[in-house]
Amino acid sequence: MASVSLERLRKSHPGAPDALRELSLEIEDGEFVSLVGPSGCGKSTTLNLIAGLDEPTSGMVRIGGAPVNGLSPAERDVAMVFQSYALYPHKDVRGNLAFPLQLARLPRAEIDRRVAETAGLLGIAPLLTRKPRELSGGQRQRVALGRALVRKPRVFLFDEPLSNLDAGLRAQLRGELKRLHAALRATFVYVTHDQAEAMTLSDRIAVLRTGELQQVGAPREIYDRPANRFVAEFFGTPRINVVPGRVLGVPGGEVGIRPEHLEILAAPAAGALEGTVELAELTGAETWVTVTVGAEQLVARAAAEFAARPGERIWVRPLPGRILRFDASGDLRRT
Amino acid sequence: MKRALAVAAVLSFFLGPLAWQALTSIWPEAELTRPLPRSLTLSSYAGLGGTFARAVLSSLVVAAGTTAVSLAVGASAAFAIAKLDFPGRRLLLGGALAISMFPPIATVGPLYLVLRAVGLRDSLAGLVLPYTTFALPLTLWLLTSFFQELPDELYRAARVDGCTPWQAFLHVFLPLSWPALATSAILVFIFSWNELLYALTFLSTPTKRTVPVAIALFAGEHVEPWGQIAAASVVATLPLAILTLLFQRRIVSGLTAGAVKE
Repeated sequence: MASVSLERLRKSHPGAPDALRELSLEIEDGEFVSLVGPSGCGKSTTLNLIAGLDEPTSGMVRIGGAPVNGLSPAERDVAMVFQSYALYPHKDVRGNLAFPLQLARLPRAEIDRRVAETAGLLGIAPLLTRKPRELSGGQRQRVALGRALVRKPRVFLFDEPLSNLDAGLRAQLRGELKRLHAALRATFVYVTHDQAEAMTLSDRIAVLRTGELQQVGAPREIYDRPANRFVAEFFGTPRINVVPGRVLGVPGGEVGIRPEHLEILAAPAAGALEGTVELAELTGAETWVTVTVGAEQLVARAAAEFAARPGERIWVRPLPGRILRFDASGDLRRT
Repeated sequence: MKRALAVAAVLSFFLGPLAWQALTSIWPEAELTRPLPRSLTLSSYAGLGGTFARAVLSSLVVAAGTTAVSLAVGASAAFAIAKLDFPGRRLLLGGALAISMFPPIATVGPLYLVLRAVGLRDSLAGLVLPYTTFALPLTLWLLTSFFQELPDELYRAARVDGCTPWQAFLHVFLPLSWPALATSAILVFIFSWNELLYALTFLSTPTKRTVPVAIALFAGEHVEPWGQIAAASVVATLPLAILTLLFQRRIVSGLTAGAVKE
């Protein structure tokens, strides 16, 4: 187990904008940190730099306090789980799990012991003699996870490991990952573009955009106090409402209010805005109501029983203290 | 019916010359001009003798040697071009292609001088070397495109699991590339087996001659031993035909590798 520290990491490719600009990030020993952002934000680049699959143009990577720049992935003692599983097609499950140990020249008995232990932990013991092509997506990802676990590395890296799975399986494996992290207390660095995945799994989230770090913080903090408009809009579905300040009676700039922080009222009240129902979308547990207020549209959360029809008059009221104010450059205004 | 006719036409176009050759080889020498022979004979084969057997052996050595060297060099180079990040990869591929554009007749003179200078003239190794330079571009292109089809994540996984680039090639990529290797092997083998110009120019000792040279030199000053030439051609074609049939499936899957998404 070890901490990971990134110091002013920069990665540039000739003839292209920098993939990463001066990224600094401290990941504690045993922490679960997600790197999140839209595609091209530099999150996978960062993971490759930690793994040693790529070298930074400038800056320093430390694992367990020691600089690892220039060291091969094996010397860094990290393991990685890939989106496409990247299992070795010609090896059976046992061969896939044993491969990293064979490369490390462990004694045969030790390899067998560790493979059996890992297979038991992940419930893939009955699959040991199967080839990857004979496995389902979920089983493949478990084997890929096993191949990382079996080495007992200092740091685990995950490159969108659940993106190729269907929703049900994704939720299940998400739970397993969380339990695994709790059991191992190992350092996990997890790359995803799925904000919900990052929210549910992480101790802390680092949000990236076009190679620049936007915010680092606990999920709650990122959600409630986003550093800027980009972060605010990236987290939460449906998206946060961002409208000119005057709509909500705030002078200047733009304001954001999350749908669940807009209360729907059937009659006028102090601080409530009058509007008409544009659309009501029932998702089962709740209804998302799009309300037209003046020239703007706001989405508000209502109970599943919400019955208003499009065109009806309605009032929405922001919950006190829940309005986020952004300045002209989109940064959150600290009030 | 139409279809059958078309098939027959195509088959006779391709198989006709072969059948002709095979027939000539068992046709008695004296009756070659008759529309039908009175009897068939294997005497042309019997007449091939030990010299021709040596030629077959020489050809086997040269073709197998060329195939082995081309695959060993070609596969590792193709892997590097496809999966490793180093400058000049495109240039290397383009250069290899450019080399294969040289007509052999233009290079035969200079090559002769080079081989003489390094003491490889009139040796089978002296054939393997130039054959490899001509076979390598093909191998390189075929295998590079094959390796490019294999996912990059597989290479990255191997690296993280502790492989050096060479180990990743040996333990992960090589075992996966049998179809492409078989295809390249067959094509290189056929090229080396059939090559005449270099073999004729660089070899002078009769016992080292390869099959195409031996066949070309069957003709004497006053006689053309058609029966023996035909018999020799059949013997020379047979190994190729058998090899190709054996690997047919693999060749097809190798040539179309990555043509469509699986």
